[in-house]
This record gives sequence, structure tokens and C-alpha cells, in this order.
Amino acid sequence: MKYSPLNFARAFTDVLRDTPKDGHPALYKRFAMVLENNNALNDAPKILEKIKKIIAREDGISIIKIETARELKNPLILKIKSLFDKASDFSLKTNPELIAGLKITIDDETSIDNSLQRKLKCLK
Amino acid sequence: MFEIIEKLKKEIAGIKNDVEISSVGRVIEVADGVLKIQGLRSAMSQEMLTVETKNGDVSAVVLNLEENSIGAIVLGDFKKIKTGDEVKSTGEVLGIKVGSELIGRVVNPLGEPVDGKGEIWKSGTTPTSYPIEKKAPSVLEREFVKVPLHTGIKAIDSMIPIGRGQRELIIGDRQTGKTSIAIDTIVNQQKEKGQKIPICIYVAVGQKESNVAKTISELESAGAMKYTVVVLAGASTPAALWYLAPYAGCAIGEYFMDKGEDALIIYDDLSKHATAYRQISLLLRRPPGREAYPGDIFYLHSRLLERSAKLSKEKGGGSLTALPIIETQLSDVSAYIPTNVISITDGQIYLEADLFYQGIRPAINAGLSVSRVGSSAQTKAMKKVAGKLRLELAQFRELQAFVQFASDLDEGTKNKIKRGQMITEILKQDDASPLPFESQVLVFYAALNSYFDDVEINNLKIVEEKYLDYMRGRHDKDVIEPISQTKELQPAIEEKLKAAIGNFKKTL
Repeated sequence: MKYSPLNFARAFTDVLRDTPKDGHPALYKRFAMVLENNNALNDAPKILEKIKKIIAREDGISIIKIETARELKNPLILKIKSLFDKASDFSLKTNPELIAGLKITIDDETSIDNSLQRKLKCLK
Repeated sequence: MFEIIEKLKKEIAGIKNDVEISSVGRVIEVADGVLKIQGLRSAMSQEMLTVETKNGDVSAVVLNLEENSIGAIVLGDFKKIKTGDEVKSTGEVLGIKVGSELIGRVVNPLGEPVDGKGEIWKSGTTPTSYPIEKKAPSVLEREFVKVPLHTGIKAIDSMIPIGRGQRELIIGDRQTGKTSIAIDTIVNQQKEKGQKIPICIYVAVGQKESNVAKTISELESAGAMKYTVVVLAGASTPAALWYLAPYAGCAIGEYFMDKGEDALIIYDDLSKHATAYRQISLLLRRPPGREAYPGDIFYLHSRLLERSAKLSKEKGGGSLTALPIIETQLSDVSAYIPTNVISITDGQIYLEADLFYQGIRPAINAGLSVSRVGSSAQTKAMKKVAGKLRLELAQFRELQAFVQFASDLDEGTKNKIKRGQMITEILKQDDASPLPFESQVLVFYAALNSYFDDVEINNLKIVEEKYLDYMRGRHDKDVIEPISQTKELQPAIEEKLKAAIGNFKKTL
């Protein structure tokens, strides 16, 4: 039977919660073997993303994705990060298609879009 | 040059420099016109979504609200969408722009013109938008159906009368004349005197586009496109548009009904509509039921057809009459979808392939056809002349097996058989030749009062044509017009009619 990435992620996070910290390395090995036995190694990136989301939600951590039109310098990155909770998980991406400005996605659910690409689209 | 600069200046002034904060989701699965989306926790059922792809935005509508994802159907080219694309909610439930500008136009279920005649709405105007899904009028908002809607087809107007606000199903096998009845009804509306022509909406679901083009051409030649809107979801369009087309047509009809006008809508056909809904439901992984249809297949049609009604005077007095069409397989009216729709509608017109091949056209089986509104939706004139028609035909059907033994039967039986044959011949009618109700009254009066008993069955059609020409030429003002205006056959007019028939017969 083929299990969805969400099913693997939920099962893993449940076991992880019940396993003491020193048992984690062995748990990771066993989980990898489970994925191999179920021919789900190709879905590993998706499963890892789901695990990250579940853990973040349980711990009250927001996953913040920052997309900018060009590479930003450190002071500016820190200024943007200071707008959010320090415990948030940040990822940065350069997307020239934005033309200018930036776009922030919080937990893949809310988007704060101040890019020139969107403003030009509204003109149409 | 100056105009270009002004246009650019307006555009620059129009740029909004604010930040957009919106709920977003992400496409996690896309196949066969159906999307699975993660996120958008506050999405509503039937809400419009916009999928932002590299090749432009594509619209979708939410159908499934699941625990961890949303199922949506794509209202455009799903091949542009790939997993990972961002999806934004519009906050609006699926709707269609409505207005009198739609009359004479051919549109798709999203309200976009497909007839090549340019934009429907003038720039700068904000047309009214009606939701595709809407609650049907309540019991208190309705009124009895009592105003007739004449189809122009003798067999229907005499024995299966339809009223404005009624739902009358047209059911039969393929190629038995279902669409012809519907088109003749539309064309006949302009022949009704003394009443405003109802706005007609023809919804083509999954029809071959060549057939729809032919239908539109027929409507144009008959001058019927002046009051008709065509909603087209052709055979080559996605199942999502087949699913939405009847609701879009109904929304257009409701606009006119709410304005106090009469409207007529034809759904051609709901069998294909059910098939499209089955396809979408299976792709959305909804549990299949009988014949793989989803569990709410009855509700699909009941909520559509309940929106057709006759509104009370307080609500404007408008009406929406529905003529849904269902195609049966091998005359099986006891199949799943036909029985569902028969139980919803206020009657059915049953077309039989056997009758069609015997040359009885329209191939209406009067025995199995019924109008639950009945003579409430008939003019007094028609009630008077055609009151006993059904009974006489029923008696003929009982005796039909004895037709071949006609020489060995008693006089009474022979007369009944001859009369039945004469009535059957009178009820035959050419395609695309709807007859106004006053002409039908004249024909039935003459035939059922034995004035044509001495006419050979084979010559009845020619005699009928000559008779109508005679009456239109010589008695238009003193017989036909009074019937048309008063909707009654008053004694004085009846006397004139008798005299006129007598004079006509002398000319034969």
C-alpha cells in the first residue's frame, strides 16, 4: 500500500515525541529503512518538508520564506527578520521575476507581497 | 501621441503602491482538470480561486473542503498549472455577469462571449453579477402556474399543456426530436399575441459544436435570436464547464424572472450534465454510488430545477419555465438519471423511437406523457376544443390491434378506429413549423367536430393547410383575432367559425 508523505511525516513526528533525545540518531536510521522498504525514498524531500511543518506548528514556530528580486545585504536581512518572532524559521530565495521589492510567505498560508511584479499585474 | 501619453499618465496614477496581504495556498496535485491545494484554510465552497502560473493566471472553483487540502476544478487550461504554483482566493463565490446585453449572444458558462461579436459589456459599466448557485424561491414567494406557454406543437398544447413557471421534461432516445421540440417552442414565442415574448435561454451541454451552430442558425433565420441567449459548453470544453453551464443559464434566467419578466430555459441535455458531474466527483475522490454516480446526483438536478418557478405578485410576478432534456438508452425510462429527473419535474413529454420510424412526428407517446399542471395552463378556447382529445386517443390505442380487421368489426368500433387515425394524422406536424394556438384551436375544432370525417386520411394534411390558409385569408379579423385576444371560443365566434368551415368545405 502506498502511503502519502503526510502519513509518513505524522507517524515520524509521533514516534519522535515519544523517543528520548539520545534515541534520535537510531530513530532516523530506522525511519530511513522504513522509507526504503515502502519505496518512498523518492518522496523524502516532501516528507521532510511535512515533518518540518508539523514540528513547527507544534512548537509554535512560523516558517517564513523571504523572496527578493536580488540578493540582499546582511543588515537588510536582519532588519526584515526583526519584524518577526526570533524563533521563526527563515529561508531566503532570490527570484528575479519579482523585478523589484520582496514577497514574504508565512507558513505557506499568508502572503505579504510588495513586489513590482504584482503591482504591474494589477495594472492590467 | 497625446492620447498615448494621457493613457500612460492615467496608468501611472493608477498604480497602487500598497502592500498586498492575502491568504495563499499551493498546488500539490494537478490532473485532468482537478487540483488539490494545500493552504487557504478560510476558503469557501464554490469560491473562485486564481492560480498564478508562469503562463498567466488560471481560474478555479472550490468544490471539496477536506481536512488537509482543498479540491478545486479548473475553469481554463489545466495544462498551464504545475505543482508548487501559488493559489490565491478571490473572496467571491462563482458568479456570472447578467443583463439584457446578453440577449442575442452566445456565451460560455463563465459569461465570456464565444460568438465572435466582440465584448458584451461596455467599458466603464459594472454589470450585475448573479451567483451561479442560488437558493430556490420559497413556498410563500411562489404562485400557481396558470399562464400558458405555447410550444406551437399541436400534440403538446392540446394534451400536455405547459404553463409559465412549470418544469416539463422532454425525454426520449437519441434522434427522436427532443431538441426540435425545444427549438420550435423558442421560435413559437414570437407568434404569441397579446403577451410579452419571454426571454429564451438555450443551454447546450456537451453538444457537438456543429449541431449548436446549426441550431443557432435556425434560430437566427426564424428571427428568434432577438430574444434568445445561448449558453454553450461544447463537447470539446472541460467537464467543469459542462457542470457549470446549466447553473449559469439558470442564473441568467433568474435575472429576468426577478425583473418581473417571463423566461424560458432549455437544458440540452441533463444526461451529459450528470456524466460530467460523475467525472468531476470521481476525480475529486468522492465516494461513488449507483452506476458510479456520486451520492448527491439527485440534488445536482433538484436544486437546479427548483429555481424555475412562477413568482408571486409581491415578488414581481416573473417566471422561469424549464424544459430539461434527458436522453434515454433503448427507451429505458426506469434508469437512474431519468427516474430522478421525472420525479423532480412537473410532467414529461415522452418521445418514442418506434413512433418516429412509423412516421408519427413529433413522436410523442400521449399515453406516457403528462403535464401535472394540466388544463390550468390552457386557454379556455383550447380546453373547449381539445378536452376530449386524450380520451379519444386512449380509446384508439386500445383498439389499434384491430385495425387490420377493420372490415369484420361493428360500426361503432370502426368509427372509433377511423376517428383515432384521423386524430393521429392531425397531430402530425413538420419540424420547424410551430403553429400559433389560435390556429390550433381552428384545426382541432374542425377535426373533432367531425367536419373532416369525409376526408381521406392521406389528404388530411393538405386539407388542413388549405383550411388554415382559407381562414387566415378570409376570417382573420372576425374569427382568428377574437380567439387570439380573448383566448376563448365565444358562442358568437363559434357560429361564425361553423359557417366558415361550411363554406370552406364547399371549395374542396
